[in-house]
Order: sequence, then structure tokens, then C-alpha cells
Amino acid sequence: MMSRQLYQGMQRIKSSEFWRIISSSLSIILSVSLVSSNMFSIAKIIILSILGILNSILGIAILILKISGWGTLCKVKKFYCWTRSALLIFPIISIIIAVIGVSSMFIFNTSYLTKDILWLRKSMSSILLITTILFVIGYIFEAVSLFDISNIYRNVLLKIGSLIYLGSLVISPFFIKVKDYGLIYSVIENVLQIFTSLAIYLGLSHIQKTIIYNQHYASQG
Amino acid sequence: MLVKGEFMNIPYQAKKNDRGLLILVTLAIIAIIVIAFLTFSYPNIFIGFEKINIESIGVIKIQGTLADSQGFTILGSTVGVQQYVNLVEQAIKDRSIKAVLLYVNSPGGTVSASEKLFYEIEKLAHKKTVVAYVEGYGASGAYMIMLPSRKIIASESSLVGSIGVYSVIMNYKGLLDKLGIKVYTFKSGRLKDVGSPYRNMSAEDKRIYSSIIQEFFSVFKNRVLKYRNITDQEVFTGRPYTSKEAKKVGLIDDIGTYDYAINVTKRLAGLPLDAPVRVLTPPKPSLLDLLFRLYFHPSTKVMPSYEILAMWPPPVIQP
Repeated sequence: MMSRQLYQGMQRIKSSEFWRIISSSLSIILSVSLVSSNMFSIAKIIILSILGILNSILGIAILILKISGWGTLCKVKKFYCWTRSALLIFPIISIIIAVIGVSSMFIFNTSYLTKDILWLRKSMSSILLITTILFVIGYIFEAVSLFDISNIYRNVLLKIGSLIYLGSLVISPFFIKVKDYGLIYSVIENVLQIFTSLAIYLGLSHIQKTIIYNQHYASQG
Repeated sequence: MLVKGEFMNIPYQAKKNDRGLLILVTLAIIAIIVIAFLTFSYPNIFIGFEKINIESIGVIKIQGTLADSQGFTILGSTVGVQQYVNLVEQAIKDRSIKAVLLYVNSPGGTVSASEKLFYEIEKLAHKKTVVAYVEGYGASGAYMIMLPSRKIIASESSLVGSIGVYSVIMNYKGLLDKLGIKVYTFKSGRLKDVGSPYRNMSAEDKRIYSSIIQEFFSVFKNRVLKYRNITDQEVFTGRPYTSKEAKKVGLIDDIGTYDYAINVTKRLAGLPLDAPVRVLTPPKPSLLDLLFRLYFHPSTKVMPSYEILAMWPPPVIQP
């Protein structure tokens, strides 16, 4: 029974990684469209906003797949239950803090009335930083869990993927800051994301094959 | 020793292993907080890896009418001086930038905006070689910001000078009277509404405004005399000069092209002629900035009454 849960859990995590590749590719297109042109028409902003919203919906779908995947794997190991809980709780806390932060920014401070864009930008950056740190904690649990699976199954590809994943999460505040300085950093972040997801996807696929193989082997005994 | 497929045969519940994974998670969280602190406390160390250790000259392009914020004055649309101040600060902090060329094409701007940038460039000039190059207009407030430069170079067909201050106060009294609109002003002192556009200017108002203008002019003049060797007092009448005349009276040091100015900057900074040139540009607006800008409509901000260091009438500046 355990092998079935393992296989199913990994399958959902694999699906989430597949959609993450799509989401990162969409993010690259969005960044390039936003930065490459100096002309911002209302129509362009609306189209880009719609794409942005679609990407956010995709992000939620990815998160649900991850929670579901780790929820299935939870029956196998206690740490994976923590991963599932972290993936569920921290994004919620992060969103609540973002809503409270932005609301209080407008309710308790009237600086926006003076059209101080710099002040708004600074406040938004601080809120973004705090919420990003909280948001990625769940993903840190996931990266460590993937690293654990890679160790158990001695899968090099998954190990590389999980370590790059962990590394990219740790340096995520850096990416928030440097995105201001150019398109290249945003593209690097997303390319890194695609590479990581691909490595995790292939690593998990290989492990799934091992699980099936071992099941056959066990039945022969 | 773990073997393939261990998960399937043995329920994996080793608490020791979980503890190790939790330690790894904790370390990663600590690392992310440290990186966040470093990134936001010392943002300049992350500006660009490619720029580190390559000695270069930075070019800051100052174009358009200078004002404290982006908006609209009687001179037309204005450029928020803060973005230039940020670029100058960036040039000060960036160790790879050995010298700065200020590329100026501006008729000047408000007193406070010009002064703000002047102080920042003065600070920059104390630390690095600064050369100014005028292409088009380098007049009034824009001339003032160039003063701390080691050399001021202008293209052949530029206009430089226009040293002076003026203030334009619009008066709506006549119009309001025609429309039958009465404005009542309650004030704590008789001069609290000096220069009010809703009543006729009194002799006292005129005297006060003249003294303010003279005071600002005296500050401007002293700055010019501190940094330049002026040979003709006509400079202080407020007249603009062509590059050739400006050189004669000591407003500029040389006439040349942009490339010539770049080479002069490199030479003064002791850099080889093949040293790279980096144009410092403000960060492009994010989607958030654009949305906020659209929402708050800052471009509709009109400031009719201002003490101005700029050429009059305002020249047409292409954006």
C-alpha cells in the first residue's frame, strides 16, 4: 500500500513541477514584455495584468498540488506532514500579513495623498520582503523533504534539483531587490526555477520507476 | 544502510532523521533572514556583479526642467530631481566609478530642486572627478548644478548662463472680479498671504518678493564666483551666452563634442582612453509604480507660483 501512496504523492508533486515550468515561462514573457518597452498603454497594462492574474491562479493550483502530494506522502514520514502543513499555513499567514500591511499603509498613513511614489515603493518593498520570507518557509520545508527523498533513493538529479531549489529560496530576498536593476535578474530567477523544476521532475520520474521495479521484485520473492 | 525502496518495506519514522531535516530547515530560514538583512541594508553591493572592479566613468544625463517632483509648472512638464539625486548617490557609492560626466540639457528649474542637486554634485565632486558637458541648454539652475565640476565643456551650439532668479506670480483678481467671485482670506498677520493671487499686489508685497529674489540671486552669484573665474559682470544680468561667448567670459572651459568630453573626463581621472563608459539610468518603473501613477494622476499637479532658476521664456525641450 505504501508504494501506491509514494507513487501517487510523487505524481502530484511532479505535476506541480510541470506547471511550475509553465508558470516560470509565463513569468519570463511577462517580465520581458514589461521591461522591454517604454510605452505603456492602458490596453497593454490590462493584457499584462490578465496574464499576471492567470499566473497567480496557476501559482495557487501548483500550491494545491504540492499540498495534496505531500499530504499523501505524509503517511510515509512525519516530516512530510510538517511540509504539507508548512505549505498550507505559511502562505496563508503571508497573505494575511500582506493584506493587513497594505491596508494599514493606506488607513493609518496619509502620505499617499501627497502622491509620494517613493514612499509607497519603500513601504511596498518592506511588506513584500516580510511576506516573501514567510511565504518561502513552506517551500524550504519542501526543498528539504525533496533532498531527503533524494538521499534515500540516491537520486543525483533530485539532489541537484532540491539543493538548487533550496539555494534559490534562500537568496529570494536578493532577487526582490535586484529586480529593480534590470530584466536580467528576473530572467535568471525564472530560468533557475525552470531548471530546478525540470531536475525535480526527472528525478521523481526516475524514483517512480524504481518504486514500480521494487514492487515487482518484492512480488517475485 | 538505506536501500532502494526502503519506504515501501519499512514505515520510515526515524525521529533522529527528522531532527536533522528540521535543523536544515532552521539553517535555511536563518540564511534567508541574513540575506534579506544584507540585501536591504547594503543594496549597492548587489547593483551589478559585472560592474565590480572595472574602473569606469559614469554618465548621468540631466535633461528637462528640474523640479522637486514630476509634474507641471509654467515651464512645462518637469523632471523630479530626486531621481538624479539617487543616481549621483549611486555614483558616489559605486567604487568602480572613478569619474562622472554630467551630460546636461536643461534650462534650469526651481530654486530648491536645483540647489538639492547642486549640493549632491558638490559632494560627488569632493570624492570623484566630475566633468560637465552641455549639449543644448545649460542655463540658470542647470548651470548652477555644474559649478562644482572640474571642467565645463559645451557643444558649439549650446546656450549657457542665464544666471539669475525670477518669480512669476499669477494674479486672478481681475478674472475673479469679472466672474463675480469673492475670495475672503483670514490671516494671522498682514503678510501671511504675501503674493496671494486673489488680491492685487501691494507695494510691500513687491518689496518682499524683490528682496527674496535678490537674496536667492546673491546666493547663486556667490556660488558662481566661488567656482568660476568670471571676466565680465554682464554674466550676472541673466543673459544667456552661446558657447563661444561663454568661454570668453569664463562660464565654460572648453567647446567640444560628447566624445571629447568623455576623453577629457577619462584623462582627468587618470583612466585609460579605452576605459568603459556606463550611463547611469534610474530604474524602470515597475507595474506597481505605473498603476499607482495612473491612480493618483501626479501629472495633473500644477504649480503656478514658484521661484525659478531657469531661462525665460522657457525653451522647447524634446523629451
